[in-house]
Amino acid sequence: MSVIRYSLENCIGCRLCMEICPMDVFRFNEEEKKSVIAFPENCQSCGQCFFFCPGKSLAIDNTAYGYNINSFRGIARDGMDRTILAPEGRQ
Amino acid sequence: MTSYIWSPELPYSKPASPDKTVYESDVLVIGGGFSGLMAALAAREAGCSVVLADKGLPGFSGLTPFVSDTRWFDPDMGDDIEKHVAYHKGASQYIGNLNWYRAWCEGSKEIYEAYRDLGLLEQYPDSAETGHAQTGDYSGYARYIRKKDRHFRFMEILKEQGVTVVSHTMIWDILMEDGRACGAVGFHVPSGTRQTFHAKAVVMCMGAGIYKSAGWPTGGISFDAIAIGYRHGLPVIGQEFEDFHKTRPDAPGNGARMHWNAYLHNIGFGGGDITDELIKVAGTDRTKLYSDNVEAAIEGTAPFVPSEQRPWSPPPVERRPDDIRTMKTLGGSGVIPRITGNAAGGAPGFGMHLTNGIFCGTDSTDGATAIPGLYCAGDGCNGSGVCGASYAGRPGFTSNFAGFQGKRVGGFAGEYAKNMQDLRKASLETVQTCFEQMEEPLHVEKGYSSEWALDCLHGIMAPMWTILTKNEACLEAALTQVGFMRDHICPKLQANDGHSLRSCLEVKNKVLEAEMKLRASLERKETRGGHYRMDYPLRNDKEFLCYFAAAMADDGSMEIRRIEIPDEWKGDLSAPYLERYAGKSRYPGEMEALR
Repeated sequence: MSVIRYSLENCIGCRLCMEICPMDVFRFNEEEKKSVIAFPENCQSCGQCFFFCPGKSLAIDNTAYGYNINSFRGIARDGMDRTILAPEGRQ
Repeated sequence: MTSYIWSPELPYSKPASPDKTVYESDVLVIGGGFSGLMAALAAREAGCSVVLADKGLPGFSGLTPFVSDTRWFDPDMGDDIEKHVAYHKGASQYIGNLNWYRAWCEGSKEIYEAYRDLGLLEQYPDSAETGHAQTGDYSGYARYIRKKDRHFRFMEILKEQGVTVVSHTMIWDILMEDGRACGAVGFHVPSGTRQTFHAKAVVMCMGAGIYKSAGWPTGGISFDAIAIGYRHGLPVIGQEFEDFHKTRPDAPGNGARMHWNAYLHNIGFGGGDITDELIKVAGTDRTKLYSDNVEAAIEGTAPFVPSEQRPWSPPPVERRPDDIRTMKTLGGSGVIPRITGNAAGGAPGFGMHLTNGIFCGTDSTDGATAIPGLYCAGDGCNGSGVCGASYAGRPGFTSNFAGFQGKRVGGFAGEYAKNMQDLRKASLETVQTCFEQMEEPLHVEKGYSSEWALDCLHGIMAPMWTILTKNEACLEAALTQVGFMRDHICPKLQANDGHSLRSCLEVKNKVLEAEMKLRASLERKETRGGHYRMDYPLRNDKEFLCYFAAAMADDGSMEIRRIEIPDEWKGDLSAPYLERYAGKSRYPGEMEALR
């Protein structure tokens, strides 16, 4: 992804990234009071969120986040699956 | 959303809807960059109530955040208007709108002073002086300059001046009643909530557009203004001229690497004398960027080596010792490397600054479209043609001209609104019809992902054989594919929330513009500025000193109309080609075609 999480712990929940992102990449988790990189495929890596994040929670990757072009593709009704495959599976 | 322990990010709560969903004002300004800001302030100065809607947050969306320089015409610094106009004629490739250029010369210093007085031109030490550049601590530099940072000033200014700002809201269409524009409809993007705007006058300042950022960030601009204008029967010019922007091949997905220096450093001041020698080579002075790029596209490029990049230093121009316009920009100390990159197409689809947009007439400088009550200003919205086929205004022109045009047009829109006694609102039926059209993607039962469609469009339009090194066969091939997307994909783009709705509507606007670009490129059978045809490598002054406008024909299809321009703009037509286009920069095939 272009914008990536450097440290979720560092996020102070100020919502500045949500406010200033022109591509609507961010959402917010009200329970944990943390920002969420919800739509990394729309990130244009302008860096505005990264430059001004007061908590130093974000970083900018060199690669862009996206999917290879399929012959056709519909939408996912409940949103995208952002989980990763990791050792020991889901818990 | 279900939470899994290995999710890299937390699930998110559904965004709240805004409390207010209907707005009424004398003037509605759409877009909060330099143009929109100055339009809103001008309308306020005229005594109007103003609502400003922005797809993101003013100061952070569109191209405005990434400005590096600004320039203005200054008679006190010795600028000579006839020399400027003589240069501009050639540099625009003899199709630049000199009415707008002269008006800009007269009004641009006032814009510089306005920007300065609004706190947008604060000067501070560059990152080489502070040491942040040397350690690569860009976010540290951002914290250092925060109090003087211009981006946050936009919202402060709008609030101070009593403008009501509606942020994170995409405008889909204007409202029309009795042949007049009387507002707009849109939606709050995060929540998908409908938003209605009733206004006596509407000023569109939504910026230009690109297909997809590919290492050159442009802030979500998506041809929204020209799409609205086109669908309401207005002509759109200039789509064939592409302004090439670059990225780094070693980090093409990292736009911040290309732009952190322009974004964070103070805005530099462009200037320098227009000499007789420069006027002689005006016809090729601004085309080197385009000719170098098409040459690299044809031959390929040597590997990019960051360590071999030269530190940036100001271009050699003559200037008086007391001229503050010294191009101190991108780290004026010259220590900070300016990475020029060797990958073109960081922002494919990006048109020639300030040339392309809705055409309002060669003799018009008030920004009024053919629809009463509808105005347009700024990059990609107002098809003034001022830069012609290549960026004749020189570095720093866009940021000043965008504000100049915004202020001027906002003033005219304000006068129009003041002359109207009552706010005559669109009927509920009109509003409902607009919303239903806007929300079509939410009701498509079987359709396609707009993200997938955007990648397909990007794959058709971005490659150099479509957009840089044009030729008849490739343009026709691309047009066939874009036509298929228009007919079979766009009607079935599917959304399930505000975010995906925005994406669907942007893709519809981008497919529409792509068709304009391809048809105009096919029509212009010559090379000129940012439009290079491999099959027609010469400028053809006999046939193509004109504009081409994309417009809707009676049967709903797109046609290209020729628009004549005043003879005064065309320069000396009796002069030989190599005198009109004197200088060293040549396009591939140009000299061979001349022989």
